[in-house]
Amino acid sequence: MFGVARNTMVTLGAIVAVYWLISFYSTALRDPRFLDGWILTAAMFGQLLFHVRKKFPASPLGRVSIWLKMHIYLGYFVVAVFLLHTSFSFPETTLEWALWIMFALVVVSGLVGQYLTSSIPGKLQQQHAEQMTFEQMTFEQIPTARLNLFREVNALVLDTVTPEGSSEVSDFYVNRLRGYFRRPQNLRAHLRGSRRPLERINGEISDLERRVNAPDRETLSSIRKLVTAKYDLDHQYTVQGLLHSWLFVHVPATYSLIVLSILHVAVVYAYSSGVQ
Amino acid sequence: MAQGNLVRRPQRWDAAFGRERIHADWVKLILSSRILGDIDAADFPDDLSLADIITNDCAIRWCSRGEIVYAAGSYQTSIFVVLNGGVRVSDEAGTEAATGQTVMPKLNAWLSPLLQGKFGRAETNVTRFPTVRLGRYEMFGEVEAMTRTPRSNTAVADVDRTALLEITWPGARELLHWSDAFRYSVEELYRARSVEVGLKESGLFAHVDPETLVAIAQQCSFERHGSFDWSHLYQRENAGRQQGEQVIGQEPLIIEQGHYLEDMFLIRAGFARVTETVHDNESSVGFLESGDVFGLTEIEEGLLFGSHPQAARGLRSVGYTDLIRIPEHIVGRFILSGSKRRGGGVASAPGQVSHADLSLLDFVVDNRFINATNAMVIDTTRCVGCDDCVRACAAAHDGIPRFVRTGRTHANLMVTSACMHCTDPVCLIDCPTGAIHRDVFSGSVVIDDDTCIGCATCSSACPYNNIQMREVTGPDGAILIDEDGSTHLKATKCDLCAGQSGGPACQRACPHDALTRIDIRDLDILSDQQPRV
Repeated sequence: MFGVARNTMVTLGAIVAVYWLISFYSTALRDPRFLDGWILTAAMFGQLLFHVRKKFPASPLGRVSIWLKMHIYLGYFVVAVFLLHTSFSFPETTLEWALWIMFALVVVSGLVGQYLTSSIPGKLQQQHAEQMTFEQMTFEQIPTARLNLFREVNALVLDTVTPEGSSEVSDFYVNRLRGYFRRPQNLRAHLRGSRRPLERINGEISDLERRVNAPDRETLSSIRKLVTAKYDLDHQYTVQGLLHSWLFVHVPATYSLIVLSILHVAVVYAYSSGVQ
Repeated sequence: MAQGNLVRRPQRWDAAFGRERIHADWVKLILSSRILGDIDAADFPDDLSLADIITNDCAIRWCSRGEIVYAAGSYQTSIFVVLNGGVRVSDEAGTEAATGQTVMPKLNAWLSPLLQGKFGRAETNVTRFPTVRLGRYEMFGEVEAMTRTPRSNTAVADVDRTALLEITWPGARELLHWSDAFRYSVEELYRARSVEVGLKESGLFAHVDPETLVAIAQQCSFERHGSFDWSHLYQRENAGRQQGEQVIGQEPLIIEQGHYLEDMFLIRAGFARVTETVHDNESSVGFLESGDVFGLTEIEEGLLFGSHPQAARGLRSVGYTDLIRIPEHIVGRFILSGSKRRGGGVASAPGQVSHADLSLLDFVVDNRFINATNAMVIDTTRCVGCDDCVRACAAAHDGIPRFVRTGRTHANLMVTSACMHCTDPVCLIDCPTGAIHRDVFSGSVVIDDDTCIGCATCSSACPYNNIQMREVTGPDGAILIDEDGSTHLKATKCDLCAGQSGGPACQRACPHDALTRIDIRDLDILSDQQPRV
């Protein structure tokens, strides 16, 4: 808590200092946008240092967690300087619009990422403690676990297929459950934290249980457990996937922003007489 | 079949221990004399002769007066026999404990090379502390070799041209295995010295003069519960165990709750679990490690009220436990009266934390994580699964990560499958070459690639499956293949990024401070990482 307060104060202090510097610069009848523009550019390139540190994970350049904190607080500073640089107004030209949108995309994806990384692991842990039937596992382990469930349910259903037996369980599996077990399903429901799709399948299994003989009822009871396990596995997959997916927006947008920023600086200097 | 280079697989003794093999004349002399006691060469098999063991797994060390053979705190595991001259073994650890000073074993270990040099070597080292002199054919260093613990004292050569026979652990293990005579003599020494050294190191008798302490030691007894080689037994028991299932019932019982307590127990080596039985349900309430005591309060109350002391709690051996039994009358006369004189009580056992989560305690003890000095613990409420830790590990080790980001979990804590650098590293007991060993200074368990022959003994001995075997490639990247068509293997595991600045790369690379390397025995640190309700 002390660390957050300290870092916030330092960031706010830096923003106030830049604001004062710009005001002071303006009173000298100079165009402050060159000053805050270069401060903004320098800060944005400073943000890139975090990515450089991540490219060399084993280097003795301090803990990445400290670099990440610097990245986040410098990000807030960049947003403030950007607003000062744009004078809290919307752009006028196409290039500026592209730059503005890309900046917004980087900032929003960064904020979303920060929220997700700080909230999801804790929620996932809590959900596991309360209702999950499946042991929490890493993102990379999930496909293997899914395959194992698929094989398990396949084996269960194959056991019910005999020349003299009924085909109701196997038909239900082929028509209703095969796709469910093969691929991640109900992603939107998992994002909402809903268990309604699971309840629906369990309801269908209950209906079927009334129509089949005792051995098949036993099989359906085992299948019901596997259905729940698969649902919990899909939940893990969706939530953990979300943790990874925001980077697919944030990182490409960052590189686009850098390119557009360089272009912006070139255009500004091409069509201006420089610092007055 | 994979394409690869045909190369003969390395064998034991391809690279001899020490600077050079012992000369045949020395070997003859050692075999013909009683240097190694009543050891009989006929006890050894043909393909592992006594002469071969001495030639390859031993070394002759020549020391000048004042030269340090080993320093207190260093992780050096050889057994020594004086061939010529003499050695003084300091009373250093006991002295420091007696004066209440902090024992700084690692600093001592680091300083020893300096002390070896020109900085006041000879006389200072010989006369710095009260010492015990060991003469010709006397053995020393066996206590730490047997228990895989850091040196509890410093050994210094007493005269110029002191010659020592250094028996490395692989050699000592063979001698202990094949020769009953050698094993009895080492065990005898170990038990006798363990009691005296243990009493000194405990600090309980700090106010007692050395002569009285010797007399006290003679009245105490030494006991071992469990087995030094506990890992295979644990692995067998663990194989059929579900996560969360307790193993208390399988652990050797030292004393049952409610039984008459004749003596106080001082833990000398290994670990013990303190249990409480309520309605026939036995559960952990703490654990004890080297230097901790059990039964002091009961004996104190017994003496105070004139009643027979009964164990308020039970005690079970975790793996193996070496303990010293201190009789009730000694406790009353020297420990309780001594603590009153000093104006304070005897320190309680650090493992008995009253505020630690008991289920966390069960998790730590059941899984033998109390052995860990440097476990990789991931807080799953912070970990986002970015795998930066694995990438950092790979980057620090030629592209091959040394751990797997999975492991046993308790609440939000995952103890991953990375080498924990155990207090009692059972993985190195059976290594035929000594390739897996402890770093002399830091105590980290490391593998010497040059002497590892890929036998996988360490890998199968690790109770936590934290050592993997990897295929060896040549300079051209092709896999090395033996004449029989099998691939060459080397053992690989976390080495805490030895030789690299900044400490373990995994910990530095974690962007969310989810991964930490901690000494799990400090339950307070572990407990702090759990979410608060």
